Amino acid sequence: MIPIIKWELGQRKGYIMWWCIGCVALIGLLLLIYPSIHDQATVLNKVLNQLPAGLRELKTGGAAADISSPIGYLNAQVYYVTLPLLFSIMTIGLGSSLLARDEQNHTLELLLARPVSRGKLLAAKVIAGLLIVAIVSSVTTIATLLLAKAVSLDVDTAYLLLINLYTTLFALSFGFIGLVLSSASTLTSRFSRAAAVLVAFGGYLLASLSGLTHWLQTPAKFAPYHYFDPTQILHGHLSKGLDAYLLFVFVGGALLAWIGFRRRDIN
Amino acid sequence: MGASITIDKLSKRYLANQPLALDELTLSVRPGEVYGFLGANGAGKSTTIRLLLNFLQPTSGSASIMGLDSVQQSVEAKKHIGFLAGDVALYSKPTARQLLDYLSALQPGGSTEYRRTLEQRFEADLNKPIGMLSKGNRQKIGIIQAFMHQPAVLILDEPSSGLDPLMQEAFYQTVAEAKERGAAIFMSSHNLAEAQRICDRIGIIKHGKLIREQAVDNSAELGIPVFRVTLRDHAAISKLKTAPHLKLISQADSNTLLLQPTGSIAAALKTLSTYDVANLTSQKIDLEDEFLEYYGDQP
Repeated sequence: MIPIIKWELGQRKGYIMWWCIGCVALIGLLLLIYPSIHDQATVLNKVLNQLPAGLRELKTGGAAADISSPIGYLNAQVYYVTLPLLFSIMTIGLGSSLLARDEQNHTLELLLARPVSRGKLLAAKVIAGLLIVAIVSSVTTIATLLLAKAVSLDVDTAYLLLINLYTTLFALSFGFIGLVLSSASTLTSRFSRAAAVLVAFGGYLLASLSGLTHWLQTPAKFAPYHYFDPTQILHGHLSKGLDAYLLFVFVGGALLAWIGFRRRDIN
Repeated sequence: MGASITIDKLSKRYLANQPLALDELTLSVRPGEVYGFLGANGAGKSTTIRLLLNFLQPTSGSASIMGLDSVQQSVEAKKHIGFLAGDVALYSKPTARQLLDYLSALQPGGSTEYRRTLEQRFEADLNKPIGMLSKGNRQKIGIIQAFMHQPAVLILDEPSSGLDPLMQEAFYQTVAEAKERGAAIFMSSHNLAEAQRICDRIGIIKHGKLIREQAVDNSAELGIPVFRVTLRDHAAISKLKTAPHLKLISQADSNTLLLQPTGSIAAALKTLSTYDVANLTSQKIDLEDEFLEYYGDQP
């Protein structure tokens, strides 16, 4: 397993580096403008609250737009949309390519012709993927903590760590869906990516807009975003719904991927 | 000595409403034997190879490598296998050296010295990213990775495609070395001259069925003359078809038959002397004739 993990990390060195740079740059941009926005918070809150309800929902997920408070600012600017979106793009791309790209390029045969069980190969790919996400997430978290201190964003460090952890796990769940689909079935990378995008962004739209339309409220309960509330996490309140969703995706998905990949034909 | 590769009534159907891609294939390859698996595109050659490597799940039947079931004991079985895929697919970013190091880590065995010998023999360009190598050079890397750990079983799909004549010779030398140390080699090929040169036995597959299996160096079947006999009397043709000491290969036209002596040539000629022969020519039968005989009806 170790050689496969090392190989996968080595193959994606550039990918990891650019994602770290991109995430840090974006977080830097969003946090460094906080002091100037904070000074004009009253005016900006007024503008934000005058936005059409739909747009406001998409931006804050239904939380009152209060960018004068550190938590309100972090929710609206970083954790409700921007960082989950960015991490989801990374994890979906990664998850739906870890195995599927090898299968599409037929390099999977090169590995499976070796005395490596399919289960171990899958586990090695998952671990490599987790390590890649962990590296990018850790770098982003460290940057967030340092920048939050630099701009005097008064949020408890533990809660900042918690929201970064949950944002990472939340985004990771979409990437994991992509990985599960591509390993349990003969769906190509493109299809598994499309399905994961549908769950992530379709769910985001559904959950965000459910406050506006009564008939969306029931289907929204099936959208993962319905359970993701950064404001609550930044206050230290964990969501049982979110924990259950993550547990369901990671445990159920791992089982499905393991069973499916062990017995299916390789394309 | 037991067979290194045993395939027993192995079948594969890809989709429920489709015909069998492989239909109850049974064959075996002994240690130190080179088995050529011949057939047209889509005949079932690659399906067989992919079943042996457990890339596909069999519909029925079984296969074993060194006595290990290819499905249930796949990981153990693969410890003994060297595999070269047809149209070899390699990673493009790393160099050939990095790839060979990686594959060595996944399948230890063989000596570093032997790997170096292969790298030199095939004049492999090890320091360039694989994506920058030509098809022939990628094929060389494919061959090295299949042979470098000196496996007991080699499964090769169109192994010499893309190699220039010099490198083909290097490949034949490598096969001969593997054969000498007792490896069983199962190779599919379109190159009949190559199969005739390096294989001990061949099997011809058509529409998923093994339709012919024979030893290549068996002079009773290959290398002996075939008579092209034209009779003046059209009516005698049917009698000649079942004449003693002669085996009917095919009928060229209403008065002409291709016949192979079943025993001594003298006995066959004696039989022919009892007929009113208008013309008699002799030709050697080779693998290509055998192959065309079985595939002659294909468009």
